[in-house]
Amino acid sequence: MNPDLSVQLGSLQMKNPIMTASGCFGYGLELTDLIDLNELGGIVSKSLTLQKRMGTPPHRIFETASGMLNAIGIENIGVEAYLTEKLPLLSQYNMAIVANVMGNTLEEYAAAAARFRGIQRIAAIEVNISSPNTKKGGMHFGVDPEMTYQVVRAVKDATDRPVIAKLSPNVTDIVAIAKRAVDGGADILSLINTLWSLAIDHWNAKAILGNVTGGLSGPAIKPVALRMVYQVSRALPVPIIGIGGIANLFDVIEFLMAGASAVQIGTANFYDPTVSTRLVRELGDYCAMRNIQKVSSLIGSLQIS
Amino acid sequence: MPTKFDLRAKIVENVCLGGKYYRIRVHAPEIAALARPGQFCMIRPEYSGDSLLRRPFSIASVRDGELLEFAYTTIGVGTRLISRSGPGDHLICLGPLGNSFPIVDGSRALVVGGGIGVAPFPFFNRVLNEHRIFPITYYGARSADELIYVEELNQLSQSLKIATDNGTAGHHGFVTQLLAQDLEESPGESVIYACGPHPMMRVVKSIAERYGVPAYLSMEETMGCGIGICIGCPIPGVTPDGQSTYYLCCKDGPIFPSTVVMI
Repeated sequence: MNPDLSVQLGSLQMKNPIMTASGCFGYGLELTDLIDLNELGGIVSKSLTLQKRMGTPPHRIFETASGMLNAIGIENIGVEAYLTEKLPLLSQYNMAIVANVMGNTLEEYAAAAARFRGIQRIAAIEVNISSPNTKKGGMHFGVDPEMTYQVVRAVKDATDRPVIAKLSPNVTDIVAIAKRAVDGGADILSLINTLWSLAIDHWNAKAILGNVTGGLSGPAIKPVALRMVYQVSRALPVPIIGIGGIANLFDVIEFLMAGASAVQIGTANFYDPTVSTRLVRELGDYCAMRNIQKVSSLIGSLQIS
Repeated sequence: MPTKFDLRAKIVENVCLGGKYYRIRVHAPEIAALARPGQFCMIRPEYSGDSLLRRPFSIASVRDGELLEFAYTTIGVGTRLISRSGPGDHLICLGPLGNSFPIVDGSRALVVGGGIGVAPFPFFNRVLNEHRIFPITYYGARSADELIYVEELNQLSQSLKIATDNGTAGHHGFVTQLLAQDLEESPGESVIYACGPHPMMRVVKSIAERYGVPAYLSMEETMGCGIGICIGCPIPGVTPDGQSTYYLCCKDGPIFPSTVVMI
């Protein structure tokens, strides 16, 4: 039996549900020695800003139990360099290429997204809404329903591609935020981004990260992510990409059951760089073994009595 | 041809050299065949519990063409777990990664190691010898019982000069004082290669600039992935046109000319 692994998220079609997450896979070309990118359903770029960004001072990484903290500060080469240096090379591979965009104002978000207009190889624009809004005193767009609406709307109006809103978990009511993202024009939701965190060097009474606070990721956050995917998928009819601590086959299955139509592999790429394509193969084997003809039949199959 | 491999490598030997210092040998012929001195591997034990990230270990030696040797100290949970692995267990080992020390034929090589930063030099000195370069090796440690590879470095060097913080072996003081003394006598066609703690690297950089000698510094920063996908290991530096930048320790380094890094 050759199971059908393809998934359809609105107009975004992928040959399987395994994607790599923004910021966790470089620009996609660093791993070509180790894996065949053609096996992936899709990849998401590092968050791209209009101008290149230097990022935050060291340290940027700290390991915690079953996870890690990071504060990279959106170091990236900028949209133009991505288009000229990375996209032509990535375009040789048969997978969905998603551009993740970010800015500090609505105008910056819109301008970054607009640069991908008419570029057929960009399958979708993912909006990183976990950015401080410099016009609102640095409050993060994604923690406020109205700011979420505005930023998604700004990107939607600027692009001709499907829009994925990547939601922050650092909110009281994820469903309220998700609703406003959809109202703003999000075709797909991806969740979750990292959990806002702090690590302390107790010997010196100092913060470990150069940026003081950072984002927690890895298997430690998986139950939070599963819960949020479950809540949002039950509340809204929008396709969802599940993200959060996915490191093995059963994590993938569980996110599909909770209501995700696809998943993104993040932190696991760092400590297990061949994990993403291995999961594609394992998912195929699993479906064959369980006699599941279409992987899409798993989506939202969680039974709550 | 791939430039790196991710292998499950069998541990052949894992011994404590005294205190927190350990030496581990694993069977990894594919990586051993490609390894150049100064490169590193990202390592974790096969079963590492809730410690997920790999640790960067510089390659201390390639033995018999198929064994990789690493020297390390137990610092946190990851290295403690590795120290508890034994022969027959496996390490998950990705490598070889990063750049290597450039060899300048006909030069006088001055090799400076501090603490566990001595790790890449048994391998590097051996390769220098193959190029008919016999380095002067400067090796600093806190005390005599924290010195490793002394016999091997002695064999692979024109001379081995030791300094300890407490005076229990060699010069009582910093290894950089020995380096500066020799350069004061004659800078010649010297090239400095250094790996060690931050304060030592800062002094090596200033000595190199004072005597107008090129220096290659093997830098260190907490790493997430080792291959440039997490962008988590910034080394503050300057670009050739004088702009501030962050280099990535894993991908742009770990070895940098002293003139491009800010320490």
